[in-house]
Amino acid sequence: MAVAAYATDLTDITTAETISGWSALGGGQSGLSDETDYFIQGSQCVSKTGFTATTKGQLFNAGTTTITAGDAVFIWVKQNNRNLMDTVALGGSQVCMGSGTGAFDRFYTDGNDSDGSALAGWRTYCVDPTDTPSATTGSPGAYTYFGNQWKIQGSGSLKGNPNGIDAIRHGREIQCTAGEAANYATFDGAAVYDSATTRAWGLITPASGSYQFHGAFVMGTSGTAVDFRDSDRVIVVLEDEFVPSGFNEFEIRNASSNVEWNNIQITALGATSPGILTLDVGTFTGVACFFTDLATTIFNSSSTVTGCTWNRCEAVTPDGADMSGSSILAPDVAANNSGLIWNVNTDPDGLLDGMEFSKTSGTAHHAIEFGLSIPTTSITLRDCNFGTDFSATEDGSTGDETFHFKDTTGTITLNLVSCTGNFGYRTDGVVVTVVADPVTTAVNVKNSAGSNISGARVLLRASDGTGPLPYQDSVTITQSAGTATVTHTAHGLVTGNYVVITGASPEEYNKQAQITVTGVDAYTYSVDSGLSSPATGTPVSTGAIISGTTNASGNITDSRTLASDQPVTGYARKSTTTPFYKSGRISGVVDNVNGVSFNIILIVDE
Amino acid sequence: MAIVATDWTITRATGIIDYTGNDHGGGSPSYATVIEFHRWVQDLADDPEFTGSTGDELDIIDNTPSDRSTDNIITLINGFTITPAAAEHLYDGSVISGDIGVDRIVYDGIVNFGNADVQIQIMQDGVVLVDDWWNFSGAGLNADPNAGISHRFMLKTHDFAGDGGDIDGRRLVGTTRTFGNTYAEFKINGTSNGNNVLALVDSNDLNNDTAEGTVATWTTIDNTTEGFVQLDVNNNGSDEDYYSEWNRDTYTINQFYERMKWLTRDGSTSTLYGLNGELFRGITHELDVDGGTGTWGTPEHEEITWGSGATAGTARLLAVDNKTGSSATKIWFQILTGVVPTDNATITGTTSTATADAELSGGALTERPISTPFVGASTGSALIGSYGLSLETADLSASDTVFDLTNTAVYPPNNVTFTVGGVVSGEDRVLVTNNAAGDIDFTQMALASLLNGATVTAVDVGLGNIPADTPSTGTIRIERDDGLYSRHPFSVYDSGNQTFTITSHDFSANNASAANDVFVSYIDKLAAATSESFTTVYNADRTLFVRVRDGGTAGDNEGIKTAETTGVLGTNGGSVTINRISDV
Repeated sequence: MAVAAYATDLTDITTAETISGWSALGGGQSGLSDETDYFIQGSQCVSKTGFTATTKGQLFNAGTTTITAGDAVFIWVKQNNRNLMDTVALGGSQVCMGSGTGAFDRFYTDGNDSDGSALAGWRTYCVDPTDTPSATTGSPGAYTYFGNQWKIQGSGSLKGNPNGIDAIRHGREIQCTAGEAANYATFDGAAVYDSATTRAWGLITPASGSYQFHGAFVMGTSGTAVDFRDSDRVIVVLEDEFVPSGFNEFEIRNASSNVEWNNIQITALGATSPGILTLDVGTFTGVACFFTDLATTIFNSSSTVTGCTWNRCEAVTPDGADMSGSSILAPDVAANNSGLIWNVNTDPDGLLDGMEFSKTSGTAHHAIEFGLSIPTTSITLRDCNFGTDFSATEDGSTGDETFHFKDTTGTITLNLVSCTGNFGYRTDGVVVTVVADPVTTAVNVKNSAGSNISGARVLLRASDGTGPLPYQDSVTITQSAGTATVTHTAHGLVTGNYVVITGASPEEYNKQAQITVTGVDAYTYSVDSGLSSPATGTPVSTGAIISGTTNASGNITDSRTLASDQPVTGYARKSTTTPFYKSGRISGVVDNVNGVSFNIILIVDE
Repeated sequence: MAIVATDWTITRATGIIDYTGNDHGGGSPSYATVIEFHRWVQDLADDPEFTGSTGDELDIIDNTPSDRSTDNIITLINGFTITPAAAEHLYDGSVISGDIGVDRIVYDGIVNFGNADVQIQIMQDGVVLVDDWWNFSGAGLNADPNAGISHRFMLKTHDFAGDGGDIDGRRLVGTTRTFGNTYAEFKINGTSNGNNVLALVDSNDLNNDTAEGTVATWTTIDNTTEGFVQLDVNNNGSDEDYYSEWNRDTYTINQFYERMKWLTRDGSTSTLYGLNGELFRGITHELDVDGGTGTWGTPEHEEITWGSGATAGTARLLAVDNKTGSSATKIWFQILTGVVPTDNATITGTTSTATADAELSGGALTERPISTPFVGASTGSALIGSYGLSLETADLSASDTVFDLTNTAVYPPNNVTFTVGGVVSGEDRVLVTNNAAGDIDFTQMALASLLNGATVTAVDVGLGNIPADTPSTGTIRIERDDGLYSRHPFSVYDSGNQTFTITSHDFSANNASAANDVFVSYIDKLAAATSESFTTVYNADRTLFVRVRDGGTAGDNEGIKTAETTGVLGTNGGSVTINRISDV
């Protein structure tokens, strides 16, 4: 790449380098001056003599001006008598846009009661011209006049020209592109570039060791990627009342862009457009960042966000990002919504490890929402702290359960490894099994050449009665409409577990079956309809740890909580399609603390 | 062809795998190789659950059902077994089930390389298996003509629970005995797991084209002697030993051959030597014995047994050289089951209770060749007989060959006949001698020593001087010192062709000195019929001088002129006819 470059999509309405085109509001045309004593952009601004107990200002006739939807008008304004302005609500400082000096809309942007009003200085007001103005003078048509007026209270100063307006522009973005070692794109680089006298875009402005920002901070463009790396910055997102909610944004563009933030702190000053983090393009790495009061955040699976904190922010959507060690604290989400939304077909195991979640007082929201696209069998969270403010109710409906499963059908097991806090959940229909601190039983199946075998069928069941799983427990079975109902005293199983039924007659009752628990002493599984009922013979049920086929990596695993070690036995078989293998016997003990891994080698049978 | 799963069932509770499709003669029976069978059960074994409608109660919850050693050796494990019906519908290898020494069953594969339409039978454990389901519609099951394979099937060779282990040491004898075709047999001296090869082929037997029903009526062909018999087939004055002497009655030697095939054909209900004809194979072993007891039966054939366990055997006794047990030195038998006797093994007749001890330290056990058919081969006009089998000597011709119990080829003599025809019984005196230039060969032989005793019976003409084609009995003429030639019947001459044994005669008054002439008078008698003849064993063409005289003193009392002629005694004999010219 090349050295970092910065640009903007702002278009000048005026740079106020001359009073030509300016008109006084409230009279006093003669009081307008080419002000060279103070300015922020170029070599002058347009000032107006002081006045008192009235409202006056100046407008620039820009002629026909087209402002792209979503953009806003940025106007530099300075009022040296800030303490004499009226309040914001009463129009202390008003951005004016209209079709003439007698027809304009007024947007109340500042006043003596606004934050930092005691401090004199230039301010950029950002106003979306499509927003609803605070007040209107006359009947303005299409905006051709742009300026500002102030409502000065009595006993105002009449000294000098305290009412200045500098560059007026429309647009939204500051764009960072390129970047290379020792000259990466940075917040500071962008701010310094922005605030140069020749530009003074007013998008990101250095301010006392931090940066004031509004607009869109774009990292990379569709045509040029960026290598953006910065650390230890504090950025405040300015509160502009007259912009839409999504106006302020930090956005990555270009799939080749690389953005690395280390200890970047971004705080929104207001709620109108608190700032969206759209970081789901290219590669983003965030370390120890701290976001306060921001809007939504979205990443992609290439993102790594470790040790970062979202405080009072809207929902975070990782989309597969690694957010290990991050925190979602007191999120600004509605009732029955969640601070973090996981909606990708990826087990969050290893991606959300060590996260901390806290609940916003007074709002019945969840910590994590699991969407429709998550894995269909089981997911795992490790070392997460959910606190005790979320509801611990399983299958609750108060909206403040820790987890919210959005799927409406099927079964899912949520394994919580070394997690703390309450583990309640709400489900929209999917049958959820929460297993706290499970151990993993892993079976890897290889051939003698060391290659993984995909599609090998594995069955691992209790081999004796010394473990927590049932072993050849006597049961009774009835059948109705293809559902076998098993009466199994204190079975200790959960929905989705497998059992092996043997000894029943007709033979069709005997199988390995995935069960649906209907009570502490009963569960059901599917059989052929029409079987004589009840089953005769001496039916017994044995719990199974694993039943299924290995994946492309030759693995099949199970996670569950075991009260004690579980002896198991079973088979790994692949003998339906070539290459055929001899049946492999599995035997061992699942340690209830450490789990177990079985490495099975199947011998070719052809 | 892959296995037809719907023809098979697996019962989980018992582990029994059964074939339930059509039987061999049904509409659409199905068959599978053992590897296809293995693949099928293994396919089921990795199913998540069995489908109830198929009857194949096998899936991942079940123990592993089978193990493959090779594509041709499959072992059913964990209690799985196949039914006999299932075994009949599997081929191309072995299927083993059960635990060794408990309930193990082994079915071994049989592959016959033969012509497509060969029909084969199996002898196992001393019997011919009754159900030959592997012969099907004039062909064989699971044939592979491109590979020259006519049959592929499995046979049970081990059944611990049923037979105590290997069935007769897993020995099998395959035969093909389709009447009208050539016969063959092939032994498997203990099957191995996998495929075991038979090589049984047959073809039209051009010397066996008589209708089976016709041959069935030739019941006068009889086994004159069943058992040890001594015959001088080659007419050399010494008997050879045989185990059988057949009488072919009026039937030709080839018809005899066909009858022997009929007796031992597939489906035979005849009995030979106490065995069903299908099972009879002939002598398989010759054994030296000693230390016998009791008396062997008449005829000898009976079941004999010896040993126990791994040394046990049974056989059909076919001959013993002496029925007095203590004198017997050899026995001959067809082994039926087990192994051959070891040294000193006591062999016991189950009927006679006679015994004999195998003598292998100073003697021998000799395996003898089996002929298929058991009678030997026919050229159409002659028999090349099998080991130890003979016909009555009169039923053999010089073109036949038999083999005695020493397995020596024995050739019957060429008994040729020279006939003098045209003679008148009771009138004509006929003399036939060796020809010497149109006259009697007086000097055919000469006395080696003086004959002057009163009761001379031995006439010595010198070693080897009696012509080889001299009839075994007949007359000679001896020149007496008085110049006359006296006529002397002889009953035999010695094997050195040196000395005739003549009817005792007094030479004391009229000696015959050494070097006096001696000649054979092949015919030297008054005609007793319209022709006279003599028979002898052909050796080489011989020209004979014939003289016939009728002095008119008998019969019509009319004399004739002396009739003299010569004739040749050739390979087919010879003859002359006298032209009697009246001398009245």
